[in-house]
Amino acid sequence: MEKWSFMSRAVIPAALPLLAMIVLELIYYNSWRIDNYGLHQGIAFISGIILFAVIALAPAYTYSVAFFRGATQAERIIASLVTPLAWLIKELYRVSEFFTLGETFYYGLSSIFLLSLFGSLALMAICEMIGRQRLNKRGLRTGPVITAIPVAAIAADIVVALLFFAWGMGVHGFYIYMKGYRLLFL
Amino acid sequence: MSENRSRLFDGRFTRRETLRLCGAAAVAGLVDWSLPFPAGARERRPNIIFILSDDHRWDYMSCMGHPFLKTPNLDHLAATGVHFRNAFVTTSLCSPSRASFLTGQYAHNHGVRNNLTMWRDNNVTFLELLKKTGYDTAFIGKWHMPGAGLPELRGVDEFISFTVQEGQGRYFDCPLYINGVLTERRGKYITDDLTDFALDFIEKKRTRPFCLYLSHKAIHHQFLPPPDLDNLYADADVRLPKEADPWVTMTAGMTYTGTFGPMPHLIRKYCATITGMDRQIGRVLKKLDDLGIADDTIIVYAGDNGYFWGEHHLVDKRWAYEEAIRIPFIVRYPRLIRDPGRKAPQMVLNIDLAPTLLDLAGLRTPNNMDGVSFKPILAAAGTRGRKAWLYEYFKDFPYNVPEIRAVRTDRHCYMEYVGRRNPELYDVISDPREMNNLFGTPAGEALLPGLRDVLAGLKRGQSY
Repeated sequence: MEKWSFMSRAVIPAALPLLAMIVLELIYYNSWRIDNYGLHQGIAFISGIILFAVIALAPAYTYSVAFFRGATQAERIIASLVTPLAWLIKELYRVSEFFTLGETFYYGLSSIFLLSLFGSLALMAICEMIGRQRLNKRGLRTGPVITAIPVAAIAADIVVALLFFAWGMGVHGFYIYMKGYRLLFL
Repeated sequence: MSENRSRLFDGRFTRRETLRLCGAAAVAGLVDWSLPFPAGARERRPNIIFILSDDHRWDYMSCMGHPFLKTPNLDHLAATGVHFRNAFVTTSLCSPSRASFLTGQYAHNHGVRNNLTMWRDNNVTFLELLKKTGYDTAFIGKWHMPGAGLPELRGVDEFISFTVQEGQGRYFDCPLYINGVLTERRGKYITDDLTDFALDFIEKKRTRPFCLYLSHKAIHHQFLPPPDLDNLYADADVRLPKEADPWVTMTAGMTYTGTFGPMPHLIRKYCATITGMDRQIGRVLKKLDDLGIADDTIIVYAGDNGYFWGEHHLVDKRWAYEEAIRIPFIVRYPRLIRDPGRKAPQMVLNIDLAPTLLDLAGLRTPNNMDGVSFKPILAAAGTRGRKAWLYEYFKDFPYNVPEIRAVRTDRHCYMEYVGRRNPELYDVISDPREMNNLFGTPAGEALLPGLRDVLAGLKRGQSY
């Protein structure tokens, strides 16, 4: 498989969703300045959905493009985490207004960020296996498609989703998280 | 000693007078045994029912002109009592506000600063003080203050509450601690269940007046109405504030408020849950009428804090904006209120409840209470209210709200934040939605010294 330049195989696939996230954030958070109520609601609704989708699905896009452009595994993983990590860092900076440094880091371990992180890893795992399967099909690669590490990543994501979102609609996971907070900070 | 009494002891009654007196005494005894107040008492003390809801914002009642929500029983209460149109909480958060209602103190005094700090067992509640003077008392419903389970609450004859989900309770099948005994409540909807216990307490035969603290889980999230009302407002047209949109619930850390998902759907559920609670309040009112004790019973209805539905691009409460600090607050007491249906403009606070109830029961306000009795306002519409009060919010991890100290006067709200956020100042009369921050403007600069002085005075414990 041809190996593209570093810019093409890692930087651009990482930068495009990041740029989309920034633009969509600007659109979403400024849409209420539009005087027309219907237009504001429409733009906010659509930009909100796409923004959510971009943050959630960016790793899948980046990983797939990077994979087929010959990026190394480390490059693929790092590039895929750029958008979710940028979102996390932006959120942590925002809450550092309210919380101490320790609390800010602990905030980064809360359910929504854990799900984002583990969800990103699971998406990468799925893309990895799809990529392998396609390369095998094209005769560019030999070897198993399904291996332990991608399967473990998917399994871990399912566990996190069940614990923090499905179990009692997330209430129980939240209380476990808060028990940790009390233990550490109170 | 009265003349009749001295004549009785002297044996100077005629036979007819003696028989009449004995008959009257017998009737009085029977009545005294069956009514919830001492019929023979020289000064009849009122029964007290305080109904507290959770997260019910002040304008979500049909008597406030809500476009589709129906609250006929709260409307009736307002039409037969005094509806305070400027009622506020000193901290817009469940636990501190509840402690303030009970103790008459600001959060910095009673110590329950957020949903994580413990209730102090040496806090004195109005229930305890009323009990000492002979009231039958009951605490039924949501306690929700941090600590190891429920406290040994002094001064309550009946204590029915719950601890599940960190004290938030569940709408359905919520196990209750009934006077210390954990009891499963399968098949029960919590608002109805708590009301059943309240009605049992009200109709008990007694010789003393009673005080009932009925504290609902409703209308806290997950906004689950009783099943028959689930689709009550499914077709209602929900118009969000200009600055809001359906995804506000998922921005800026608001996922922790438990309102994940599009906002219009949540608002419809919220409204149906209010109507469900209103129906149960109707049962309480009817019970008082049936027992013939409505005139002798003070009913207070309040919310523990307000709620944002998209205003300022927020959901939940906590901030010092009007939507969060205002509460519904209605008082009915026919024996005192001569002009039922009045809309009182004076500012009253959650910390005023305890002093007022004590005052209405003939007791003095303890020195350590920060609130003041608004009994004079109930009695006379023209009574002057307070001029300013302190709002305080303490950090409550992981909610994305800075610590706040604010002063709310009858015209302005000035807010100071801990951290890197600039203060805010609004003229709430000309700008009730607080969209035009005067801080940093010439008009704001002119107001700041005075407001900062008042804020500093309030922090020192001064009253205005």
